[in-house]
Amino acid sequence: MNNKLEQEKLAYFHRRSQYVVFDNDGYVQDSCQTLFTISSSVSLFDAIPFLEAMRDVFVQLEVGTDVSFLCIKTDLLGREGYFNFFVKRHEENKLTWFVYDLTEFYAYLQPWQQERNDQAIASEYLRLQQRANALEKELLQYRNDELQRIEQMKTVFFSQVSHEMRTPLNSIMGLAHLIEEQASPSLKASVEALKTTAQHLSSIVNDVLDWGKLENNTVEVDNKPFLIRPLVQNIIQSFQSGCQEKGVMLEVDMDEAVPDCLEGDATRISQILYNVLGNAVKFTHEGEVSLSVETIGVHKKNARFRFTIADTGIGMSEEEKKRIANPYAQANDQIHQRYGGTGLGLSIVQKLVERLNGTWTIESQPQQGTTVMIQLSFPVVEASKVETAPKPPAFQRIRKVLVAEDDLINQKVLRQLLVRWNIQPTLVENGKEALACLRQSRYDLLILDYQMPQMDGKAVLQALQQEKRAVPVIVLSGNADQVILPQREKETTLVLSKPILPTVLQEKMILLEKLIPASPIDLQYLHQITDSQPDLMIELMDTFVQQAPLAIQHIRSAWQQQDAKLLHQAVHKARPGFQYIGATTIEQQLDRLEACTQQPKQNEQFEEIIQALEKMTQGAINQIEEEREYLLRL
Amino acid sequence: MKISKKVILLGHYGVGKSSLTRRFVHRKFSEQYSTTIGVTIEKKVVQLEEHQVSMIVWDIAGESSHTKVPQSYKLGAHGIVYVIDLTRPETYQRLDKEIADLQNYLPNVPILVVGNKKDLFTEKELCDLLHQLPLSPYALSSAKTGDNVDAMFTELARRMV
Repeated sequence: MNNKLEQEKLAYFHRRSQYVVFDNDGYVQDSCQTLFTISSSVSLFDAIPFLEAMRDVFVQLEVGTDVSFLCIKTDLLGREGYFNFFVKRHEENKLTWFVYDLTEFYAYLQPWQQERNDQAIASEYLRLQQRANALEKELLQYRNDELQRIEQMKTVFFSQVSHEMRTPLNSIMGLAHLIEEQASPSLKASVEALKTTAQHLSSIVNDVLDWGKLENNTVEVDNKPFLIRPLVQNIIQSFQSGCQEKGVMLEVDMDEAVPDCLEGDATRISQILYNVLGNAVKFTHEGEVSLSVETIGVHKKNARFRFTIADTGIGMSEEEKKRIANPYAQANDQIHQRYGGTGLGLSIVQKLVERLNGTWTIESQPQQGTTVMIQLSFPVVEASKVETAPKPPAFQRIRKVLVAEDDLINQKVLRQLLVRWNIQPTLVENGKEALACLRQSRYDLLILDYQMPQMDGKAVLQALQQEKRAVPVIVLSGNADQVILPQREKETTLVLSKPILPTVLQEKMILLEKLIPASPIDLQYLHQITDSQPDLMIELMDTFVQQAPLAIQHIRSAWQQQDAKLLHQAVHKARPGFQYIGATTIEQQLDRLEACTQQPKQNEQFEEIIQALEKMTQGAINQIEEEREYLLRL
Repeated sequence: MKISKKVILLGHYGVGKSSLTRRFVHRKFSEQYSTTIGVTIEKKVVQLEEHQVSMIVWDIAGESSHTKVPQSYKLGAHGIVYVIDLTRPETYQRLDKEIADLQNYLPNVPILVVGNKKDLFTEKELCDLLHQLPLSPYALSSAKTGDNVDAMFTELARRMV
């Protein structure tokens, strides 16, 4: 490097640097004074904060050692900027301080560093925001889950309580039915009120249970052909007297274009209409309530209908309309105080309509009235497909029924119902006793409570299956959904929800009766002629038990004597006895026997008939004896 | 009696070390964030009952750990203010470890931990936040309002003399 360049370089550094020599007390011994001017009379430790701060360190610095400080922003006696400092001890009392001004360089760097830090901080905040968002989402999800859990718990709780209510309710309703028939005229009105109250309570319990099922999506839709006009008429009919009492007009308008027969779940459709119409009637005190049904479209064999239920009742505000969409909520507190109810009706309607793939809207104005429009679609079918409800006939084959039920009131209700239907009931209180009875004697039907002490219905069903006892069973349960039936017994085992209505029990028994083989006897005629008087019936039964074997013996004797006339007389004399006990199969055998007497040399066939006759007569006697025992216990 | 003390401010970048220094020394505050390069040296004299303490404040550029700070900056320090930003958990997640390291590195040097930007929280939020900090700060401060700034530096001065 030539001299000139060397000079330029030194000049460049010279302008930007200063060299200071000072002693242990900070007094300047020498300085080039390039950047700032220092007085030798002032201690640097008092004048320059950097040195003031480092005094303890520099005073103790060992000879030959140095310390460097890069990028120090400070004020050096009026010169403010960024500096690099190098401090070195040369001698015991001599320190050098080299100051290099890098203000330009560091001032240039600062924006870069600023940008880097700004970005890093922004990223931090972004991560925080993302974390906060995730936590908020998690919290919302948790709250949602919690709300759903509480809602479900509420539904389960209400359902369980309702199930528990069903058994006593069953008893109340059953007893009311029984009392009604025997009640004196003065008591009739009270019994009627009792029935209405029980019915009302039953509808509340059913609402709660239905809501539970709808919430859990366990409501099954049973689509069958049904007649829409009678269905609507029946519903209207049920509100007729209530409207008359209130002085409210109740009108129905059925579009002529509505087909007669549709395919759908008539029970659920009725439930929807009952609920909406029930509300309309409940909240209308003057004016009218109307139900109109119209066809709004037909596509192939499917028709869409609009059911419009309009009233001139108390109506609702927009806010109240929003409230009633929530289960167990009513438009306002006064409504509950004045009208009562569970607040489930419209929620059930809403869910049921959804379940039937329909839509519904509600329009309402306070003090003007409410209009509910429901649209549902159904396939149109021929009217001939509709099953008409059979009238329950008297039981032919169910004569002896074993009832296993621990509830004393239910026992009483069932006993009276069965006795009224000319059926012998045997009552036991638990599954163990039921099995013991079934092992000892024959029953045409077992009515079995599912929940009993000692041995419950489920265990009894399992035992029956193991013992291969083919007795038909009606299982009674407060919660029919929880009843588990053995697979192979499903046809001969039916489930009945409590509370038991006599008609429903009768329908189930009719279904099961078809599965029971014909009994060798039918005491209906005996009941008729004796007016069901036990003493007289027992007397006639005793006569039969004594006479029947003798009559058969006479027949055999006549045949052995090959006396056709005597044989004819013996058959003729035996016949009325069997007629009294309704032993039609024995009568048929007697007919065959008589026919044989007209034809000579039929010995083998004759022996066969007479043996069958003896066997069947013994069967009839056995059964008569069982019936007799029952009558004796009455 | 006049005593000079070197005070270093440590902590992550953007926590408000420069703002606290500016508030303490010049009674000023700016919303504008300006990154510190290297170290800025400021001086303020604090009058205690028996001493006049000349506090030479070394406002050191923020780093996530003091180990990244040049050793010469920490050399001869008489007191430390460790600043965290209450709005940024990353500035205090490793606070306990950082303070333990510092105590080990500069034994017998008083350290005050300060949670800055308290003005951005309600009292209730601050209470909740305090439970989340790895260790309790000496003070919650606000360079913006000046809350606890002088008190904190004065306390440090007391501990240094």
